[in-house]
Amino acid sequence: MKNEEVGQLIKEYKETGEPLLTLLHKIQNLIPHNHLPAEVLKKVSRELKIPVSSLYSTASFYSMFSLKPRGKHIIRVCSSPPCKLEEYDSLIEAIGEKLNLSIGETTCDGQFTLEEQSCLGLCSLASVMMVDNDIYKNVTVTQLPEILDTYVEE
Amino acid sequence: MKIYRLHVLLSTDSRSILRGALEVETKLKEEIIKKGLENEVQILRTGGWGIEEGVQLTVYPGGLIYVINNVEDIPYLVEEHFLKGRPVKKLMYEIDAPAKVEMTAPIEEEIMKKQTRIILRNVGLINPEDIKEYIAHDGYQALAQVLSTMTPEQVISEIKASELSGRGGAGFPTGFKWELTAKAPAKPKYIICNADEGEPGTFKDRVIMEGDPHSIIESMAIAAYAVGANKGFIYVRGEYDLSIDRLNIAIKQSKEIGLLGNNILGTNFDFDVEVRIGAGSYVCGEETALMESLEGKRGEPRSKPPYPSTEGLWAKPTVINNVETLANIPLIILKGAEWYKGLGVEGSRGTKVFTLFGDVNAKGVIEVPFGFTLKELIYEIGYGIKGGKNLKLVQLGGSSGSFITPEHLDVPIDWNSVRKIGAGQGSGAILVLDETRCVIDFLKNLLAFFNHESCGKCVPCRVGLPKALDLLNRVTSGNVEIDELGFMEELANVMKNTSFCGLGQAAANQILESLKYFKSEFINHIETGYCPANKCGRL
Repeated sequence: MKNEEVGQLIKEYKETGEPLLTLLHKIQNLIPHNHLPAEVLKKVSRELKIPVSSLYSTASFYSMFSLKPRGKHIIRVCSSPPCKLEEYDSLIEAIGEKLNLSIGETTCDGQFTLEEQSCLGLCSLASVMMVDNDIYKNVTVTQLPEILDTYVEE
Repeated sequence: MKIYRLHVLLSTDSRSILRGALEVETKLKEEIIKKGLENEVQILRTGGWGIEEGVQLTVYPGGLIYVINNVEDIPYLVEEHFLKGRPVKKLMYEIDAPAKVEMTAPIEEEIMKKQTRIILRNVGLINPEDIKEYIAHDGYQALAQVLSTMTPEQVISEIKASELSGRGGAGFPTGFKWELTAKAPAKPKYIICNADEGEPGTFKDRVIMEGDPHSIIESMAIAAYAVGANKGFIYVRGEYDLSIDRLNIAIKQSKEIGLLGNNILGTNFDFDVEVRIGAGSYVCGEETALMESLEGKRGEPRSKPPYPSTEGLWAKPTVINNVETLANIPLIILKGAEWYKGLGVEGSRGTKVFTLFGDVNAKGVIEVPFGFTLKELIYEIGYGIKGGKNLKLVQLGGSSGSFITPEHLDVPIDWNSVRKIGAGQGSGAILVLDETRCVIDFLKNLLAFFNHESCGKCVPCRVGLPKALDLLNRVTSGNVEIDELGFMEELANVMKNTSFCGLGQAAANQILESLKYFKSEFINHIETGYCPANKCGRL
């Protein structure tokens, strides 16, 4: 579970006094399946002398952190009103059909997780969706297969 | 210094980049070299003007705006305008209103004639990644003036005299906030810039951070001097990548030339700023929740009092101001409180940035003095409703905001007037819905958002929202009795009165306002089993 690398990040955290959320972001990026596993939180807890309960309480609060394993790629569809006025509903439906997935779920092959995204402030480009860190604008159902295919591994 | 014949300002905010601004830049450079114009035409990256079409190029002298939707148009533009000096009409910005509005006049005349840009003064004009351009536009002059000629008390009394009020939604007087922190005995003190902009449909802060990041840093330094703080944090949403980058670049540049750090400008004032990144939580925009999050905890709101002014971050006196509020500070110092008070109306001084969205012809970011009516904003600056339809509803202030119906379009948008009709202007988002939109569908969507963002700390919000959503779902599936609408109203009233923070209260407000203005639509759905907008599926 990437023990050494996590240990290194914790060491840097102690030295630089960076914020806890940044540490958790870094650890999550390191762990396969984009999440914060229990054993990692326990390790952080032991080394930083922060109770597991408070780490859990922090990690479970923010939507960018996940305690459950997620897919290799995370699809986030913006669900704020300007995007809902456009294509949101049909996008969720089409993704659901193509990948057999509903919001919060991960595909069986561990490739994709579908999540809702809060407003990205790109309302003139609605509907907006993200795959990992890539933002897609004016997305329609017809473009969807092409977008998703670029993330499917050969 | 090299003198160029033409200066081309290229919008490179995150919206423009998604529209292909970087490809436009590459192509422009190629074509300019092809035509041998590299010593005559300079391309400068700037923030966005607030126009939401394509990638904008503003060409000076002249100030004509081109909107590029296709890079293939660039060779023609370069040849015609840059080489031969003939402006290309077909690529100019135009608004797709019933009577096509062509922007063939310079930007100052057409777009800005109805706007007053104080907060957005540099956005779209300067390169946000170059401190020299900010300084050339009087940047850091206010800080220098404050440090060399004013006492902290004088700074506070100037800000108080300007009657600047917080732009995050609550409208609390900024000078008063600063004074409370300045008088608090505990040390150290902190300055926080609230850049956790998550209100759906609002992105004014993003536009400022991406277009003029130094103005925030300068203002924070002035605030720090005024209250006696030496450390500041900018709390930015994790999703705002470009804002984070540009703020970090700005901080680095300011440090390099000694505008941040120790002994700023040769005085004994020290100040340092750090960018802190959120992790996806709407409620963290609430100031005390934001402080919890900065401390590395769950972003749950604290009970007030004590207020942050005396017990804020790590229980120390803290000034927390919104991005837009801070961006006002340098001009108030440079031009004086009296000048500032000349803008806006009694009780609401200065200007306000609005994001105009939904079914309106000219969407975008606009800045006007307080006191404009929604009618002026929607029909003059926004060039009316798309497709010439009628207006049904305006949601003012984002999802936590208020419903404004057509009969209130003439109410001026300032704190007092809006309050009189029981509304609030919130973050400044203006979402326009035309007559074909379904209020129930819209409300469902709002409640789903609040339900997702509820932190779960208090019962009325945590339990009330799923209940209300369930009721709405039953309205649209035709499985509800008419008198259950009374229950929905009662539920909303309980949520409004007993929720711990603004989130639950705001959610309840949306229910109450929908019922107040559009009850007939609910009844219609229930009685006829039919959604006039054809949004709610088969009932």
